[in-house]
Amino acid sequence: MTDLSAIYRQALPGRIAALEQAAGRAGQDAEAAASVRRIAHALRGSGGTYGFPEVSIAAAAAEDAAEGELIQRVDELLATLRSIVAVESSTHILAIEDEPEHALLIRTILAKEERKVTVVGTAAEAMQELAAGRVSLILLDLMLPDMDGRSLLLRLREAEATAALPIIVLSAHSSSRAKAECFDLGASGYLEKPIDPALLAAVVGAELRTARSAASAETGDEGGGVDGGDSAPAIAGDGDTDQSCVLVVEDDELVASILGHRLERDGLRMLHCSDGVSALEVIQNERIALAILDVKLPGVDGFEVLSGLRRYAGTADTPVIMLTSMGAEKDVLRAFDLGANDYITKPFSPVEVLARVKRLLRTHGHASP
Amino acid sequence: MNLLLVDDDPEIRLVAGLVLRGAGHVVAEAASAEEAAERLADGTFDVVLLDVMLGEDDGVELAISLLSGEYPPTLVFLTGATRADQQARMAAAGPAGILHKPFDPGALAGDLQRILDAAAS
Repeated sequence: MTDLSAIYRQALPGRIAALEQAAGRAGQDAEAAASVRRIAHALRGSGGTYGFPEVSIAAAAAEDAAEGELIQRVDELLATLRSIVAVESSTHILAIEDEPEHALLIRTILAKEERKVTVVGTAAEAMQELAAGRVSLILLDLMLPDMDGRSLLLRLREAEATAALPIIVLSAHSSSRAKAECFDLGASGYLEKPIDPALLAAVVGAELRTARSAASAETGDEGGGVDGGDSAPAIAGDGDTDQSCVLVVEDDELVASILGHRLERDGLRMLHCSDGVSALEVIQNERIALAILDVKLPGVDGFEVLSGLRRYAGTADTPVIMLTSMGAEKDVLRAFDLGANDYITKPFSPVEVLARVKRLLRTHGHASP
Repeated sequence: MNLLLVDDDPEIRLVAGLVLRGAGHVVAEAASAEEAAERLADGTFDVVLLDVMLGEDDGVELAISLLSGEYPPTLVFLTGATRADQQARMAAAGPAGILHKPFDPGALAGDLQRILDAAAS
């Protein structure tokens, strides 16, 4: 599968240079200001298409900015673009996997020119590697020769440097209990062996995207200051989000009610829609913290709702979990392509759903209920 | 189907060209109104997929001139323009439909097909 985001990243330095050049003169020169808006317009159209909705949002704010705000919005757009280039060019994946076939598979699938992949076979080597340098994501086999993978997972979560790092568990166990246990210990994702290459690439890509958007949200917070302007992009409006509101779009009433009970038990509020059309209306009016979307819905399906969420500025960055059917890998890949953050295969354990919901709320800067 | 894709953004031409060729269409590309005119003089196209803000050029004007010609193609706008006045100008030009940017690469070919099917019926 073509990695569209890699193609886009390669073109970004040129776009940044052109934007910087035009922005430098935009204060005095109307033609330069028009040129800035043209570049912003192009970025608005292409960013989301290539899997970077944050670019489309920042570019829209720049393109539509009032004259007095143009420079500030362009600076924000430049910061968004630079953060993508910086994060992606320093991506380092550490795989802790002692089986040579799996190690080779991981290296072959994940290594790219802007990405470094290191594979180690033991927990001890992993700790050395982590001490030596910055790691962006960890793939963790549960059966290691020198330590139980679950113990290592717990240790990594307790250490400050790796507490928030995306960690994807690789395991031959497919039971809901095994998965829920790993999520309880702090896993970000869980892939069953034998590893499906396309699924591995998609899950890693989604985890890196989630980490990147969490990092850029944090940078935005540090920028501080109260911006009361109406033209501020909705992505900055996290304060408006109902931090406990989880949108569940599911046409099976029984599944929805099980989810509702579980979410409410943990202090979250479920907003339930049983079809895609009403979900698309709801996202315009309600500030949701997270969405759980069933893929198969009558009429407008879960993919279309996901696309709508990503297109609408207020929910472009809202974490989304897709509910897919067993064996429907194509659906999972499509969901990740459209910007989903995670997926759960039906039938699912409510405990696993909640663990994943909590993790995503945490990484997206919402307080744990 | 023979498609002419007119957009000044190379990244949009790349991804739209990729998915539309993948869907079995023959796709020619143009980066400006001038290039579009050259391609249109060279051959006939079933569909023209047209950006509205074509750098210095105005896609709506190009659309009007194409649609008022002797053999007007089926024209679909592919645009990031969202303001009401821009939408109204586009609609007034009489396209078969409007596709919005950013678009979902996985859905573009299907969305285009739906517009063409609706226009044909």
